[in-house]
Amino acid sequence: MLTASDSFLSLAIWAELSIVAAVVACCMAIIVMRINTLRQQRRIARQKPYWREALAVGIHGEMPSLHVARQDRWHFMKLWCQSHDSVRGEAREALKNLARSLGMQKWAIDFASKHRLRDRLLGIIALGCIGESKGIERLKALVNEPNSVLSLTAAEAYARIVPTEALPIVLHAASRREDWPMARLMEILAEAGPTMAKDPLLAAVRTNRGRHRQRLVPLLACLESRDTMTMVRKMLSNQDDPEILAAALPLAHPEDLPYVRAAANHSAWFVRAKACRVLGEYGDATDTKLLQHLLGDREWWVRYRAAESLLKIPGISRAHVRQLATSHPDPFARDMLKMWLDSPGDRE
Amino acid sequence: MRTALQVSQWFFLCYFIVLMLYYLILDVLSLSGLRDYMDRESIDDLPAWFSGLEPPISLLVPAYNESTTIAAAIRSLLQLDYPEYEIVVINDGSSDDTLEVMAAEFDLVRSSEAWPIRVKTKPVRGVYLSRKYKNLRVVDKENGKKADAMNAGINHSVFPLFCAVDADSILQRDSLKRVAQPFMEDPLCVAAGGTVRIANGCKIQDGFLVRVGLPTGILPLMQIVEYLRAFLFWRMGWDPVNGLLLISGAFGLFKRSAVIAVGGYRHDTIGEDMELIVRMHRKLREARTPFRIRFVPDPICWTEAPEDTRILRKQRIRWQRGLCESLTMNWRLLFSRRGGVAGWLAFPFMVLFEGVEPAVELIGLGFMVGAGLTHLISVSSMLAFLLVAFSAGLLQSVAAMLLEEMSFHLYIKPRELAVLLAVTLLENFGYRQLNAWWRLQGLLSWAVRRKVEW
Repeated sequence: MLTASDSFLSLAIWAELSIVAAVVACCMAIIVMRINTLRQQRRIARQKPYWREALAVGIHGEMPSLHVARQDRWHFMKLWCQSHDSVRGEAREALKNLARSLGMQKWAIDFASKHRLRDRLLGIIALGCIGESKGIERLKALVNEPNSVLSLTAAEAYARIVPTEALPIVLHAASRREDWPMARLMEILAEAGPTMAKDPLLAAVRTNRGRHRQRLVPLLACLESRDTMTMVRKMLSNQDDPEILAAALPLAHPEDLPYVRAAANHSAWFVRAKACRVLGEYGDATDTKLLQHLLGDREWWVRYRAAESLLKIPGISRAHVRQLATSHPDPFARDMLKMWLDSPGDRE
Repeated sequence: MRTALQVSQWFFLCYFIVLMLYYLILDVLSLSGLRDYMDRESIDDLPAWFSGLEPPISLLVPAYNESTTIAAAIRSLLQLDYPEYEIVVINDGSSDDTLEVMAAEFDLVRSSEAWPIRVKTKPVRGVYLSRKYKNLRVVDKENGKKADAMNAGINHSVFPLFCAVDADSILQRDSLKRVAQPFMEDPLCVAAGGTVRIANGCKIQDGFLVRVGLPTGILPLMQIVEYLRAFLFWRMGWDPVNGLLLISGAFGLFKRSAVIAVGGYRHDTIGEDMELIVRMHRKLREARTPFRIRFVPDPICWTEAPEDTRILRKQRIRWQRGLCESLTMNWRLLFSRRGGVAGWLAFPFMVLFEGVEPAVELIGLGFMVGAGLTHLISVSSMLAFLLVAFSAGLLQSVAAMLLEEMSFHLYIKPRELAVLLAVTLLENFGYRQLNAWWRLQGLLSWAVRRKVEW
């Protein structure tokens, strides 16, 4: 009979012991976590009505007597942030005063410096809401964090506290950070307001080049159109950079129609498709010929947008489009028009 | 003979120890990934970051002979809480009255076709629009199986993201919002999948889950633990390092242009969902396109699990075969120069610990027990090996339970927790081996290219 070597048995036993220890540790952790969760949930549920009452009093400018235990600070701060964002004007200022009287700005700075993401995020958001200038250096450093959520939240808070100082820095980072979604950047600029955002954004678009510039162009939609008109027109008149042209087309004004018409014949299909959409917004009866021509484009999206826009052009009746759908020489164009005519409503 | 036996014992023991270490690494990765996710989730109810800015989505619902369930499924999809989405149902040449049921229920009218053929499919017989719901469209086509139906859906969808949904999937009202989150947070995201949970024992109302509960049958109970392991442990583990090789076909969100760029779903595999993801890794890496494939641990899709062994066996054979096909069809990802984590870690691990694992597990068990009983090896060696093999499985399941407790703890009653812990222990005695046997059959059916029953 073969007997296992000592080393085989000892390895197996050690492996077995380690696994059993890990299994027992996991089971214990599950039970302990369940007990802790239930305890914490009960404690917070008991505290929340008092906190809500205190915040309601605070909104009216009074200072309620309130003590928040250390272990409850995170939960209270979150509730405070929720309340802060649900009110405006004087009520918001009153809540900030309440936060300062509790020393919440210090908690927020502490949280923003902690290791755990949950703490850092809430700390950053709270700093932005309170408008605490002592946390600015911390936020400025966090804007360059590789973690997208963390850096973007820090950028948002920074822009909330000192928009004039923050926006050039945030926009510079935004032009380089592909991981920052455009929607969030739009929100940051919208919160700062068009007046505040105007100079830093126009400067950033002007000074950046290529891909970086392309990322910033759609943000111009956050500004008043009279402020962007000249810059957009300049971009529309330059047909050599299709990416910039495509980014600028949605920002075109009715007066820019000559440029849009020119873009509808551009060699890049995505420029033609965008131009079609704009023609649907601002075009007139004189553009029907161009759109009819684009209905026969080799790219499906251009045909799709051309048909969509044709139905939007003022003064062009559905009957006319129906007639066009039977008489157009291009079978693809006919099919596309028929499909749009069959649609029960406008489709995006 | 003696040397061969010794080498074999060492091989099997080492395999299980390495397997355990692999699970340990995945566990650590899942722990950190899940903790980060839950941290972000904990501030999710602060002023909505992306409200109103969600990208529009096309929901693709392939249907084959679903006349009894399709109307209810579409009605529940029409109630999803998402700003802008369209539903494209693909009737994949049903031989029953699926199309007629939909036509009557949703007042369908035939529309002209002017859709681009981005991915080749079987001929489309007609496209129908609903007069009741402007975001509902039905594509009627010749039968070509699920992958072909999905490709037809891709051709007939308008929005930049498409969501693959099984007609029998039970979603939550906010499922789309949750699965779209990675696309809003990360512009490089090309695909995102959510956690699929077992609906047996839960209360379903109007196509939505209203109360979570445990089933009474032992098979679905075992599958709850299995699903926890597969999603929270395995997929969550690969997510932080961009090594996720599978997004469930029951519910996944994809960037349409990226899927078209890699050629859409393949028809010649039964694991088309996994094959697509592995191919995306391969092709996007080859093209040096930066991308992310993300996993959302939230329980956003619920499915009825098989309650009898016959159906479960077929499912497992199919899954195993699908896995083997997906890996062999994309073998060039393995240790490829630009393979990254997917090619150098996830793929080889998948081959070693998912692909051939049922064979090693069963042969190992058979060999050690046989050799022990015939006194070719000592009883102490046999017992030591068996203990390692069983407890390695137990550790995996308990670790998955720990992740569930750390994150969502959906089964809130202490009794439910106790039942799940008991099942975690029990499944190692019989169920796991039975499962390995079925998976081995799947592996063999792939090896001999036998036709698989659905």
